[in-house]
Amino acid sequence: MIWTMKKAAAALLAGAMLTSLLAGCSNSASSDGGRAETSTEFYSAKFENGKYVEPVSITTVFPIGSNLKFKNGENIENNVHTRWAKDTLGIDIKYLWTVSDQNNAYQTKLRLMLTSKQEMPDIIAFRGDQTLISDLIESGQFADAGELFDQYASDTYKEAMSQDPDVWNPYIRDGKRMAIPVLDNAYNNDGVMYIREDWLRNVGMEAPTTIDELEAVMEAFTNGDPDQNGQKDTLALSIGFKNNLATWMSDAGWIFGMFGAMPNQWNEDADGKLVYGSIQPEMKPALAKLQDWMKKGYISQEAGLYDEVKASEAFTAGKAGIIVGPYWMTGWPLQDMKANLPGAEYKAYPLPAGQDGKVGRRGTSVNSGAVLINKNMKNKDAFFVYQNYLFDHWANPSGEGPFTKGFAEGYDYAIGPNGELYGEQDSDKIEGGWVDTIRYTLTFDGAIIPQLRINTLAKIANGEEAVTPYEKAMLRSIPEQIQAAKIVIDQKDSIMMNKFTGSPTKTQLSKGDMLDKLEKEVLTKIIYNRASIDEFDSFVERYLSSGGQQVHNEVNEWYASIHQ
Amino acid sequence: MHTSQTSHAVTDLVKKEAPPAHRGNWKRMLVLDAMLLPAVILTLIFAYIPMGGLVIAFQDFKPWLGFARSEWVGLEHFQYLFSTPEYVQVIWNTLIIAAMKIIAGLVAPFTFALLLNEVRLSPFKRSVQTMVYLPHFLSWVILGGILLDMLSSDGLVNQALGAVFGIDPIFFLGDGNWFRLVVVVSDVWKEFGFGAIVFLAALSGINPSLYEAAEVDGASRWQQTLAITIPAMIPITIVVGTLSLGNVLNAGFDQIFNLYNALVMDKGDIIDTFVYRVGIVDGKFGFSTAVGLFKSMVGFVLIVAAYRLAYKLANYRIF
Amino acid sequence: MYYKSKPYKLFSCFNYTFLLALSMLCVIPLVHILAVSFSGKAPANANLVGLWPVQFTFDAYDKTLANENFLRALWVAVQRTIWGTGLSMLIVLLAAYPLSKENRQFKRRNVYTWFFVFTMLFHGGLIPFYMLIQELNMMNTIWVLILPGAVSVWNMILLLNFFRGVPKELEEAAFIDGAGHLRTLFHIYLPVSLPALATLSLFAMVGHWNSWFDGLIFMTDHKNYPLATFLQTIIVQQDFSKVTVRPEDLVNISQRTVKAAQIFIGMAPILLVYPFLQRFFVKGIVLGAVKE
Repeated sequence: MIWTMKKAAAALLAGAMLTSLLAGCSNSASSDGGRAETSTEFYSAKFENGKYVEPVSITTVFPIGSNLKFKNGENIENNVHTRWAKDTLGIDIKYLWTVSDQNNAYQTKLRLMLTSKQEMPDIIAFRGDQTLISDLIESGQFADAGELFDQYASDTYKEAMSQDPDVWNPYIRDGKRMAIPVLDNAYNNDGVMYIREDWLRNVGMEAPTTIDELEAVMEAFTNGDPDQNGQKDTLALSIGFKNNLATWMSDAGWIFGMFGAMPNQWNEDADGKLVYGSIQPEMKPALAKLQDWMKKGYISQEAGLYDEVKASEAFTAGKAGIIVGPYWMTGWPLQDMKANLPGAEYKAYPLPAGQDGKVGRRGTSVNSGAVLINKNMKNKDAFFVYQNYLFDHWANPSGEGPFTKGFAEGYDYAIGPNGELYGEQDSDKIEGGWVDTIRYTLTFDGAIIPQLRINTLAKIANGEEAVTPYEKAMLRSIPEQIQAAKIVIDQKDSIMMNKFTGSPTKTQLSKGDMLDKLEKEVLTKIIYNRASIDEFDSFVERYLSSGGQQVHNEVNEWYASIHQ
Repeated sequence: MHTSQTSHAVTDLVKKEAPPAHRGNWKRMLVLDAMLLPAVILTLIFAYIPMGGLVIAFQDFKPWLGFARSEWVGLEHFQYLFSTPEYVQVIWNTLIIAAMKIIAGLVAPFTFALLLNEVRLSPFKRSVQTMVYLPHFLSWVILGGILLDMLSSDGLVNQALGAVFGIDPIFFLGDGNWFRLVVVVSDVWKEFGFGAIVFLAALSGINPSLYEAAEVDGASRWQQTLAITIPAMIPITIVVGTLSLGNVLNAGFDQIFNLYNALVMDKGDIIDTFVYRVGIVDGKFGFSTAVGLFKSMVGFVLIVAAYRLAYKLANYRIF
Repeated sequence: MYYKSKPYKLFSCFNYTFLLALSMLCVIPLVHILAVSFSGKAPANANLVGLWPVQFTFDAYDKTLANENFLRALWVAVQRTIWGTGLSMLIVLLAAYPLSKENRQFKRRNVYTWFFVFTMLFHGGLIPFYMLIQELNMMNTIWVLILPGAVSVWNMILLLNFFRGVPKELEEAAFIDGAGHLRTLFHIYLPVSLPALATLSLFAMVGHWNSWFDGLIFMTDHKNYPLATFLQTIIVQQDFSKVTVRPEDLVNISQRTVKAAQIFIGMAPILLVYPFLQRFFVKGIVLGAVKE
């Protein structure tokens, strides 16, 4: 889209236009992406051949993750990415400060920056706690990003954003979209069930598809000596609910899904209202099941003490036979399992269904963070020039674009003597090693079209031919991962997304911790059989009367306001 | 400490002879002020100026508004603290765990120092001293994982208990009372070596001729310990103990955070973990500052009380 | 000789055994962690390592030490520790002396003492502190690592108590000889307080060496990170609930081994220095002998 505009705009361009065209553009009522073809004022600075004639600067800040690698003496301020931005787009990216991304340092520093009247950067990209983004928005220093998006985003960008209509919700204030969601791979943390194939063989059973079959398998895994070492030292299922029952790995949410419930989130009920999952009546039978399983030794005594990662150890160490987690677990930690237990095999399976055929899976939001645009940014369109380019050319490159092989030659790809393409797996053949340059970008991953990855993997799993460069790149994934991805897609109707993505409501602020604690205590006690299953009902009453009802009302108020 | 005096260190400190007043004393005193000057200046700058930030405890502080423009809410945060149903439980837990830690944290290093003092083989003594000091460097993130493994139903500890005493596995980290015990014991284990250093230093300052004299008088080692060693350590114990009182509401966030879970909330949740969770939902600085202020005040009151007590009863100035 | 008596020998036997057991109890977890640091990432991550490395490898240390920033961070840490400890000890020394005097000798003593003790308990928090550092233009300098922590009230109190234990006669004698306070401090008090000073220096050094938070927040250029901060940067965050995960990255996570290596690298210098300082804990430095 930029290219067609450019031809028209170039014809009309006369002299540098540094006037804030935004004042002009944003005042006009009917702004939508397509109106800009003829206006010389579309770009805030002289723009020709897809780049700003005089380099325009964007200031920002950045968290340096430990997986960010540099070579050839480069660093975040000066590298192949910053050079590309300058040469190709005429954008000069300047970093006001950077910090190592650990212990919430980035978040802390952003907060401190708010206090100390420091110069705010033009662009802030942040992934993590919602509250920080809320604070940034509340500080009033950032522009109506939604409007800017409508105006400047390219079609590809807009298409990607629309793949999940709820994606703007967390950032809406008074009907305005105040931050631009950073898009992530869809279904990235949706769970599939990994089972030890060799154990299934040893006990002579098939992978379960219903809850009854599941329990039979679990019985065999616990008491049938599936690892054939003559000792009763195995568990059936590994879950870790120290943090939450429904979580990103070692998940137990699907167990509730089999009964139509999903704890730890807000779900839409039959009347279109939002209700809190953990207090719904459907939770009861599921809790009873878990209680039963713990009694029978199918799940570990320690399950309530373990977080997601600790719980996965049981599986990778060969003590448990089933674990539910994302499709990418095949890369980690399950690769470790192969190393630790020669002969162990695992396979991904769809989540089993409950008695009524219900399957419920915790959904992952496509939105992992947001980009905020400073009100005082001189050249706000520059961000979109940057991001549009990435969406148009990087997210799903076609045939002959600049990024078909990778971001920069000699960095994340190299061409061999016979024209072969060296990628990540051939790190030793690339001088200085393979470096993931896309991580340097402003939004941390360049540009991601949410549904693309999982759909591509599923396509490949179905045996379809890989045509586009993206598909060819995905071909290199390990087979287990491709297979797991297919299952994720196949079961996508079972997703139960958290529907409440607004900032904490008033009562949540004052009573939230207490309610949370109550919930965790009671549910955990029930599972551990320290409280009978009937206490669930009195728990729900207590929960509602101690503030849960108010929260419910407030959440639904928000929900209604979003849908105006 | 002279051989001529009875070696009761406390009374020793009590009966100090005042040096005679001299002309030009005030000039000498000025020198003392001058010596204190660097410390005073640095303290003023880096401790007292930022202390002004305590006003956040009385504001609905928003970082971009700063101190000047954030809304004043008076005692609201304190009211919130005392109105949540959890506060009693949380404060009580904190007090209990902290008190246990303070006591154990004095007794253990003290005893260890005494025992180590009896070792005459120097290389052994030095090695032990170094080895017990090492756990101090471990972080609770790592220790948490290790403890989780060791104390699990089929972990080392339960295995040993079963083999040696025939006891059923105890769910250490899943039961409130055991949890508190684990917290205190593991903390003592981690810190006693480091804490003993001060006591060992005190011990090394005892005049050996005192022991010789006692030997001559026919005292047994135990009597010597009672009469010489322990009294020599009492002053420093009082100092360390009093200063630890300042921590009476700090039960150890890092440790509890890494070890606790839903099953032990009722006995293990402390003020800091509570404030942390509230802070996650709502990055309110005001509340956490208010709670911090509350903790500081309680600690301060206790220290003042201990100081006056020591002065009134034993004419001993702790600092 | 008391230690020749039968009962004492029995006690001594128990004592040695007990202390040995205690030491083992303290050292064994560290042996485990050391083993993890030399293990392959797969067994380490699955928690299969006991007291001996499984799949021996130098990987974790390689990752940490071979990193070009390691030496730089090490140098920063050495600098801050040396300057920080030196400065702090000097200030504490100068301050503890006057505070150890009696009220009669030094009337304002109490005021000063409470002035310092108050700051042990009351803090304004990170925000005002951060603002102050900014105002003073101390961001990203070595001073922010050294100055704020220089006045260690805890150390001051310990030292003043030690000073109080020094026999008055020594001070008297010095005074009669015409020595002023400074002279007395450095020529009389200092030499006899070596155990105390060794102790306090140790505390100060350990504090500086392991301090990572200030480096993280106040250094805007990660080239200036001290070692403790830097070591943390090697760790990959393992909470994937919020951050996008690219499966390709995960293959290389070896969190546990690196964390383990991190602990030892952080500990190593202190272990080297401690035995040296232990020399000062020599029993019975002759205090009174000078005058008797």
